[in-house]
Formats: sequence, C-alpha cells, structure tokens
Amino acid sequence: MSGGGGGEERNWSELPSELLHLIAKKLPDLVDFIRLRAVCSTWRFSAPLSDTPHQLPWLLELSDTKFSTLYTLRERQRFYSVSSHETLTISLTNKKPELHNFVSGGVYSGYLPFSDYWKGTVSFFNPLTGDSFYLPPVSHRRLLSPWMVWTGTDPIRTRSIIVVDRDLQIRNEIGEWALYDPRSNKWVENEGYFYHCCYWHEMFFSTHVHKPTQVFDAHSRELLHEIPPPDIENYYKDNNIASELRQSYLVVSSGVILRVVWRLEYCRDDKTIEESVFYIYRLDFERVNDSSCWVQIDDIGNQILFLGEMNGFSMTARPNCGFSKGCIYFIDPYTNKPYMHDISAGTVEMVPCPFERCTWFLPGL
Amino acid sequence: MARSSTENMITLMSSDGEEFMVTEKVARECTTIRNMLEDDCVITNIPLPNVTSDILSMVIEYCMEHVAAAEKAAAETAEKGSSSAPAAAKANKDLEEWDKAFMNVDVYTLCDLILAANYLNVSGLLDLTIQTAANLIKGKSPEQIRKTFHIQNDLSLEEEEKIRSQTPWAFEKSE
Repeated sequence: MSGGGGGEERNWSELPSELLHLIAKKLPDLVDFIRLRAVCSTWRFSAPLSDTPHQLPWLLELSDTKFSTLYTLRERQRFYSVSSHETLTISLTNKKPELHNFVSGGVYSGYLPFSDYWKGTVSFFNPLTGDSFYLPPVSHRRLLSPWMVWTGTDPIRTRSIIVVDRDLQIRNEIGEWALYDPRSNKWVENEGYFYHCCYWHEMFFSTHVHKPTQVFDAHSRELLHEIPPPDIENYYKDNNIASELRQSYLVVSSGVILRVVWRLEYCRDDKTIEESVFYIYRLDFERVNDSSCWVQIDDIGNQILFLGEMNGFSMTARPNCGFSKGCIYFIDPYTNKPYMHDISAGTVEMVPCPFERCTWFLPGL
Repeated sequence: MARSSTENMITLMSSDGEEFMVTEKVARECTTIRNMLEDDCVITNIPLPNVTSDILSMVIEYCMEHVAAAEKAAAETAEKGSSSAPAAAKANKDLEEWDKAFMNVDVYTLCDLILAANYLNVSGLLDLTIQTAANLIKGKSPEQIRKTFHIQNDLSLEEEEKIRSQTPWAFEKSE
C-alpha cells in the first residue's frame, strides 16, 4: 500500500499488525478484545490471547446467602463491566462441580479463590475459561481451616497466596497464617498481624488497623521491620474512638506502598453511608534501618484505587475506561454495593450496578 | 547542533507532488524528520513518498496546533515565573477539545492518519488516532465492527463457530 495516490481507499484489514496490536491494547474491556478477535483473520492474528490488554475490574454478583466470607457462585454467574455498562452472563454449569465456598478477597487476575473449610484445601477457578487448580491441604494443625485467602495479581510468580484462620481475622491480634510456596508445593506457617497485606520487592507487608506494619522477607519469612501506624490511627485509638476506623489497606500503587485508612460512618436508621473519609499515606521505606514512616498525601495522580472486602489494588486510568483517575472505588462492607470517592472533591457517590450485592473481579483469559 | 534564532523553513513534499512550507519547529514534531535534520542539518526539502497531500496537510495542522499550544504555555510560564495551575488545566482542556474535533473524520482518513503518524513518528498523533480507533470498537459486536470499518469477514463458518463456542458470553449481545 506504500505510495498510494489520492483517492485510494485504505483497507482496515490490511493495517500493519503492530498498529492493530496498539489499538487492541487500548481496549479497556476484555469483552471488546474478544470481539475484536472475531472480526477477521488478520485482526485475530494481530491481537494474540497471550498479550491481552491490562484489565480493569468487573463487578461479580454475589449470592444472597452469605456465610461470613464464603459465597456460592451461580450456575449462570453474572458480571458487570463498569467500563462498557454491560452485564455478562457466564454459564458455569459444565465447568466446575462445586461452586461453593468462593472466598471474596483475591485479586488474582482471572482466578477466584475457593476454600474448603472442612478439608483444609484451597483451589482456584477461572470462570471465563473453566480452568482450575488445587493447592495441597494446609497441614498445620492449628491452621486447619483456611477461612480467608489473600492473593496478589500474580501470586504464583510473586509467591503470594496466603490463608488466614478465622480466629485471627476476628481477634485482631498476632496470630498464625500460612503462605504457599510454589517451589516446594507446600504451605509455610508464619506469625504476625494479618488483615491487609501486600507484596513489594520480594517482601511481604502485613498489617491490621491500629497495628504496626510488619515487613517479612518473602523467601526466608524473617521479620525484617515493624513500621508504626500513621498518627491518625493512634489518635483514634488514644481517644477511644478506634471503632470509627474500619480498615487500613496496604496497596501497591505506581511502585510505592500506600496505606489507605478508612473511616466509615453509617446513619443509625437505615444503615446508609453517612460519612466516608479516607486518609492516604505513602510509605517512605528504609531498607537498612527502622526509620521507615508514613507520609500523608492528598493526590494519587493518574491512579485509581479499588478496595474490596480484604484487599485493595491500584490501576492506571486510561481514556474512556469508565473509571475516573484520582478516585477510590470501594465496596460498602454492609450492603456490598459499589461506591466512588473522589479524593480531590471529597465526594462519595454510588456506582451504578444492576446487582444487589457484588465484589471486584479481575477478568483474565 | 547549532540552532539559528530565526526560524528555518523546511519544504515537505507529499506522494502526489504537493509542497508544504513549514517552520523547522513544526517539522521537528515528526521524529522521523527530526532524525533526518539531525543527521544532515542543511537539508531543506524532504520528500515523503508514503503520505498523500490531504493527509500531510492534516498532520501539519496537528503539529502546528500542538507547537502553538506548547509555545503559549512556555511564554506564560516565562512571564509569571511559574504557570498557574488553573490556566494550565484550561489550556490542556482546550487542546483536548481541539484534538477531539480534529478526530471527527471518516474511518478511511483515520486509517491513513494512523499510517502517516506511524511513518512520520508523531507520537501524540499516533496515540490520538489509535485511541479514536479503539473508541470506535468499544461496545460493538464483531458484525458492527466490520460495518464500521468496512471489513470483509474472511473467517469460515466453522472458524466463527469455534470462536463463539470458546467464549459464548462475549457474543450474546444481539447484533
């Protein structure tokens, strides 16, 4: 087509592969990527499955019956794409025999964690592809029952699948948790504060609201540092209003660790959100000594924060992606409905969603 | 490389033989031309056999607008010592609006602009055109995408059936 004179019509199916690839990478929603791949053979070739665009989360419809943190997936499971305002219904009938005990808590791209409380096993299931795999039972006698499962976005590579016992979650004290080691295919026990966690530069950071952040070496699991919580958490604790602070998330965002402290107040009558305030801190990390500290920030730039039941994650905003940069999207723990908090404007509004109750899901093929 | 204070003019020649006189600053928005100028700084006439005159005039229009916006921002910063945040935000917004209006083209022109932006290596224009194409794809079924971009479906019925059966949920939307 080079040197084409005026009037000659370009053919989109002959657009060079690398340029079509650039277009495919701009699609914010997996469903658009899949549809692009069904247009013609050259487009299919130019947008390989091995290189899907970075996905923003969907909302997964939760079942009505809730047994603490364990849910059941539906035979026809519904997802909602905030980006394309589309509800997608995925039939799971022939994909997985048991759809029970899905644990809301992971951000493992494509996979949902399942916990068998009685057998002590953890499995992962991708509802889009039907792929699943099982991890060995958590054998430690004091940690028989994996109640919560925490994962990063790439847990096998970063060795970051963690199970937490029910008691630890409730007690808010030092307790035991187990980390999966993919090399030995075994669980390794650990001890510490655990509710929110993140993986960063071969280290695990775990914490609980009002508690110090403990820093572990991901390989040796040696406790390297303890970083005191930001002053705001001490203030609430010292003034006996600690219950007002709900969560203190650890989120890796643009290469730094953020601690997102969340104060949430409900109206007494109807349990709607009366006030939702976020205090955001950036970790100034000192590897060699114990002088790491939290520095308050009021801007997260081009990032979007997503907060779920147990963990938070950060994504970069893109044009036309359906989410606004500099905003925190959270699931209200009481109603399981999604909300958006605009950091600079200080406003909170509901995110339109067709489901009664939902949680974040990162789609992946 | 020595830079003269008076503006050098460069002549760009399209594939159909039309000549466009532009300032060196505008021409330098195209990385491909910038590299040519840096290799040989006395060059004043550049033939572009891959770009037609109507597309080249659009690329030049884009580059001129963006150079003017950058110069205006630089002048304001020099005048006030620092650029005021609201003024900079407004200038950005204006340029975004201009880009949006500039992208009000048919899909053939869009395709030509993508190829030209890629060939001349105008990163801002390539990003803008690629994003525009992605926006046109978003929310459409494969058949609607084919209609929009005038693409022939060369997949066999068996191939199409196979693609659909892998992820049926992505194709349930009525076409």
